[in-house]
Parts: sequence; structure tokens; C-alpha cells
Amino acid sequence: MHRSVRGRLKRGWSAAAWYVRALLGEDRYRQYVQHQSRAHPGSVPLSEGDFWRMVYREQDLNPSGRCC
Amino acid sequence: MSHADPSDTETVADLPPVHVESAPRWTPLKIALWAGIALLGGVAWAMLAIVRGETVNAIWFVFAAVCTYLIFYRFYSKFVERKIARPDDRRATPAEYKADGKDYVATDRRVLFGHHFAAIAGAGPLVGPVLAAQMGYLPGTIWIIVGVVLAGAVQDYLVLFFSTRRGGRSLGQMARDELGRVGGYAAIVATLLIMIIITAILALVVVNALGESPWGVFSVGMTIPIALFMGVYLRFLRPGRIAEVSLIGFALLMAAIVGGGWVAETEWGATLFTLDRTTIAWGIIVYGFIAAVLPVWLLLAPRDYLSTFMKIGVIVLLAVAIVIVQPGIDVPAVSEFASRDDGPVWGGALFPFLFVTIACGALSGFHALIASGTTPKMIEKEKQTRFIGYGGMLMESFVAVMALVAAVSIDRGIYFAMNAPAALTSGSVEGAVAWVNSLGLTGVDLTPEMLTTLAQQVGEETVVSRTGGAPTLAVGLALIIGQWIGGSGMMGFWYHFAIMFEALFILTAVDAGTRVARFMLQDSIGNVVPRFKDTGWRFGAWLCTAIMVAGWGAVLIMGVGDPRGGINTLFPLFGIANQLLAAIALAVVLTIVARRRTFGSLWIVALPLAFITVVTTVGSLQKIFSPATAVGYWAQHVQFRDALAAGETSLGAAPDVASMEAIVRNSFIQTSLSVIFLVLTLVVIATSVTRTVQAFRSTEVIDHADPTVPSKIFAPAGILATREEKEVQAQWDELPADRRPVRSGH
Repeated sequence: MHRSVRGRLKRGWSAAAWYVRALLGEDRYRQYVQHQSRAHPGSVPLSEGDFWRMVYREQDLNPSGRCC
Repeated sequence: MSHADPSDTETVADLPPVHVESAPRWTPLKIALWAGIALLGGVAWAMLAIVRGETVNAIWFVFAAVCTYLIFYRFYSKFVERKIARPDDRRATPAEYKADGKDYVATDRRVLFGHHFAAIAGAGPLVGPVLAAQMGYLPGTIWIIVGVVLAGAVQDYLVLFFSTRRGGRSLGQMARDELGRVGGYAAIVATLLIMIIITAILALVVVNALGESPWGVFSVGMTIPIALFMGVYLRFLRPGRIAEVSLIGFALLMAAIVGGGWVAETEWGATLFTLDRTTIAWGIIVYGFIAAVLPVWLLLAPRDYLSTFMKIGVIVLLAVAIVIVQPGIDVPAVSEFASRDDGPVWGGALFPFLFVTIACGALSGFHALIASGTTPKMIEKEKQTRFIGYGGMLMESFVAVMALVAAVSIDRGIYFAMNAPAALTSGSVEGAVAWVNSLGLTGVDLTPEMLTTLAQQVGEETVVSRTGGAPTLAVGLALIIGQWIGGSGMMGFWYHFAIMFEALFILTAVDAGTRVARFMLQDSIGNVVPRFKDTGWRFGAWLCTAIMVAGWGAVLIMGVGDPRGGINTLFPLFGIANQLLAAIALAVVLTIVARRRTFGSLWIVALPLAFITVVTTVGSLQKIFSPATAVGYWAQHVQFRDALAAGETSLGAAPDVASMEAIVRNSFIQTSLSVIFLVLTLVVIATSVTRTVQAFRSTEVIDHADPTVPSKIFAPAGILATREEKEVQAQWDELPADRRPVRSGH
């Protein structure tokens, strides 16, 4: 009983952590690498630092509004 | 346009099914559950609207809202789906057929829901309901809840769905496709003007919240270095560690709020950070320009992360607090001002001005820009648009209901002392008490101690005439959460916590809005001077940014300097602008629906469109032609112009000639804006109606949707997977890893 409560808490915590990370976009790099390797096999993906530079540069050029 | 027969795409090369038809099974338990929800909702509405005891428990607001949302989500949005949207999960979404690993990424529906919600919800649903509370709690509550299920959520859902069908096209592009050049241009000009007005008035809300408040100025000011630190951390120290840096940023933010309390107590702190509203307004203008030309990674992106973090956190906190504390509401359901057009908080009668004062939360045109922006590029399956579009808007509506509860849980005397312009209260405690008690409102007996104690508890110099809604919401929130955590000793913290997150949302909106407007302006000028189309051209970028900042800055300065208090006269303009955009979005949707020849269900769109067209048209007409000076801008203009011509040196709220001249100038600009809004609305509506009638007469189906591409991914449609969906999901999970599709958040 005790163990199952702890297991449940652990699962709840990891679900919450997964959600917050995904919401903030933390897995975008992993996903980009995965996409590159599938769509353009053999190409060398950008490094993590360069990937984020590119993401922000694109945001600079394609702004999106926030609502009031 | 290609219209592949869906049966061509039924099965895709030995993959499990990509779509599931889940037929609802009506078990007795389910029927009992929905009957229970309907019953509880009915009781809650009866408690609010009919019983109206001396004190109404705030929990009834929660029940009325949530039960109505559940029923309309389950039945009405499903009806809209079946009649109008008709999603087909065998078709790939842009996230699948345009997948690029960056912008077009199939994203888990629950994650995208949070993402979409964070993009549509800001300070709007928090401020509007607070101002609407001058008419009592009932008119606002009804409009927020009924408006969202029949209008706001329908708009968001359908714009999101049609944009998804069109490869993620923006509202402006869809307007050009459907309404032709004139309608399309009208939509773009309207969007640009609305951006300016909305940015200016949001900035005014921050200025009013921070004026003469050293604590607020310090803690909100600290968000800038905190965001810069986060930006540098993410770029140079640990790229991609967004959750980590957001936690650090959040901790620093809390420290800034606590620190603000200490700094404001010191002599140097009070001298340094006590700024008048004009100074703060200029500060925001300069900030707005710099923030909009700085690279995104340095300021905007990190503040966005903080703001997302705070948004979800605060809303959960407030919802839990309301359920636990269950504040008693003794504000009348319908107040004395509901039947008058000269309310102290904002001028105008219940119809049409209540429906523009509360925009975000019931129906907000601005959402159409978001729903046709990033969200359609990330949606996995067409059927998910209902959960994200309709459901996301219900969530925002719930935020508005909570803001209304917070506002009406405050003593009514205090509410009016805080929200009336200084011209009425003279800005002093004695003046405010005398004025409020002279109104003869039932159950109101304001004493000077009530105002001074409150100011002391929240750590402010004064709470009199703190217009704009943000301080009132902050007081309400501090009272409610304070009863749960920390008592009156922590009210100062909670008050400034609320001011901080409102300012955070607004500053992000100001920055992002300026950027979007700058690109739109560059694009428009680029049609004449092609060089401006090059968005990388530094001079063009800076010039267009400066023009946009000057635009909203001028309206902001006008509001700050207005002797009648900027909110009172400008807020209706903000609401009209936002609802005008809603009318444009609904007009575009109406045309699309008509051209797809699904006429039987046209009323689903026509009903909210007709309502909001009448509201914006009557509102604009009254602002232009009403002879009552509390309502009509032109009447104000003439009154003050004639008074000046007659040699008078003071009139009404204006104590001197300079103030009178300010009113003459401001009311002229406000009249002009109202005229422009009215003309634009009528152009767009007329075009849309013409196209609809043409579609009705013709037999041709016109659909600008992208060609069908067969989908090769599967995901459940709603928040919880149905039994059939779980079975199919299990088949997908059995595939070897290299054959499973790339999806975010998995």
C-alpha cells in the first residue's frame, strides 16, 4: 500500500515535469534531430546551441502576437 | 483545388488506422452524470439570478460556469463539429505534411492546449470583468458564460479549424482569399489599428497600476534584468534548459516582490521609485521601442517563458483559493448603474457597452490572430481543433469569471473609490469617501479608515482612484488568497504578486504587439517602396518600429493626461476595436462556411456575427453621435470647444484651460477612430454578406483548403482517449521505433 502511494506520487511528479518541459518547448531540439535523421538521412544536424540560435532568429523574423 | 475522395486514403501502407469513429454509448451511469451536471448548473444559475440572497456564495459562480461549459462543450461544440467543421482525421494536418522540425511540429494535444491557452490569455480577461462589475455581478456573468459558449469559443474553434485546413494561413490571408482585395485590405488596416489601440490601453493599465507605487515600480522593473539574465543563461550557459531557467527566474521574481516591499520602505527607495504616471508612461514607450528592436532571445523569449509559467500557476492558485475560501458576495446582482449611461468607471449604457467592456473571456477578436498563427502549425489531428479551440476559450472564460468574482468580493464602496477617476474623488481619502457616500448606493457606507487600512495592508500610499482594473483585481485576489495563505500579513505580497503578473503579461503583449505591427507596416509600405519588404533592413525595421511605438505611445500619453481619467473614456474604444476584429473573423468564417455550401448550419456563425455587428455598430454610432457627454466623444468635443470659445477657464473634470484643450484634442481623435472603426466594420460585413448571397445563388463549392494529403499518424481527439482510441493507440505503440511518427511531447 505504502509503496503504491509512493509509486503514484512518483508517476504524478514525472507527468507534471513532462508537461511543464513540453509546454515550455524543451524537447524541441530532440525532436528536430529526430526529424532531420528521418527526413534528411545522412545530414549532420545542428548542435543544440546553434539550433536554439536558429529558432530565435526565426522568431525575430516571424513575430507572433500575444493576446491581451 | 483537389478534392480527393476520402476513401482513397482509407488505409495507408500497412500502418494501423489513422482515424477512429468513437460512437458515444449512453449507459445509465453516463445519463445520470450529465443529468447531475445539468441539475447542478441549473441550481447554480438559480442561486445567482433568482434567489440572490443577501450574500451569494462565490462557489455558485464556479458551478454555473463549469456546468455550462461542460454541457456546451459536450453537446454544442460537437454539434458545430458535425454541422460545420466536419473534420477528417484521414487528412494530414500542416504539422504532418509540412513537418520541418521547427515551426510545423505535431504536438501532443494536451501540451498544445496549454500552449494555445497561454497565447490567448493575458491581462484582458482579468481587467474587463473588473470594470464591468460597476453594473453588478449578473450582467457580466451572463455575458461571459453565454457569450463564450455561443460566440467566443465558436469563433476560436472555427478560425483554428479553417486555418489548419489552409496550411496554417493567417486571418489576413484568409480574409483576402474569401473577401477579395477590398475586404482583405479593410481587415489588415483594422488589425493594425486594433494592435495600436490594444497596446496603448494595456500599457495604460500598467501605468495606472504603477503610478506612485514604489513597490510596484521596483518589482516590475526587476523583471527586465531577470529576463535579460535568463536570456544570457539560455544562450551562452545552458542552451535548451528552459524549465530550469524558468524555475530560477520564478524564484528571482518572488524575491523581487519581497524585495520591493523592503525597498519601498527605505527613504532612498521611496524617492527613487515613486514615479508619477507621465514618467512611467514615457518609460514604457522607450522600453517598448528598445524591447521591440532587441533580438528575441534576449528579452522577449525568456519573459514569455516566465509569463507562461505564471499564467498557469496563478490561475490554478486562484481557482483553488476561490473553492476553499468561498468568499461571500454582497454586491447587488444588478446595480444602480446598469440602467444608466454615466457610470463612474466607464461611460455608456449596458447595451452595447457591457459587451465591449468584457471582450476577452466572452468573445475576443484578437484570438483569431492566435488561432490562425502558431497553433494550426502544431496540431496533430483535425479533430483536436475542437478541444484546443473551443476548450481553450472556455478556459479563458473561466479566468474571466474568477476575475469577476475577485472584483465583486470587494466592498462596493471601496470598489467605486478605487475605480472612479480622480476628477470625481479629488484623489484624496476624504474626497473619495464623501463622493462615494453621496452616490446613495444601497449597502454602501464607506469610512476613511476602510481606505487607509486597505492601502496600508497592501503596501500602497493610497488606493483612491487607482483606475484600470489591475489594482482592484489585485486587492480582490489578495483578500481571497490572503484568507487562505498568510492572512492580512501577506496581503501586500499577494497584491504585488497580482500586479506583477498582470504587468508581465502586458509588457510581453506590448513587445510582441509592436513587433507584429511593425512587420505588417513594413509589408504594407513595401507594396509602394519595395525595399521595406526586406525585414532584415535595419533602418526600415527601426523606422517602422518607431512609427508603431509613436502610434500607441500617443494614445497612451493622451490617456494618462486626460483629466477624466484615461480608462473611463478609452476602454470602450479598446473593446470596440477588439469586437470589430471578432466581427471580421466571424465574417471570414461565415463566407467560408457559405462557400462550402453548408447552409443549414449557417446560423451557428451568423448568430454571433449579427450580435457583435450590432454591438460594435451601435457602440460606434453612440460614441460618434450620442448627445450625452458621458458617452459621445463628439458631444464632449463640442461642449469643451464651445466652452473655450466662450472664454471659460474650467469645465467639469477639467480644472484649467490646458486640460480643456486636452479634452478637445482627445475627443476629436477618439471620434475619428470611432468613425474609422465603423466604416471598416461595415465594409467587411457588407463584403461578407455579398459573398454569402453569391454562394447561396451559385452551385459551385469554393474551398480554399490545401489539397488533401493522407495522414500517417494517429492521436486521440479529446483530453481523454476513448476506448476505441486506446485500442488503436496500442497498435501504434507496438510499431518499431523507427516507424513511429515524430511527435512532440512524447
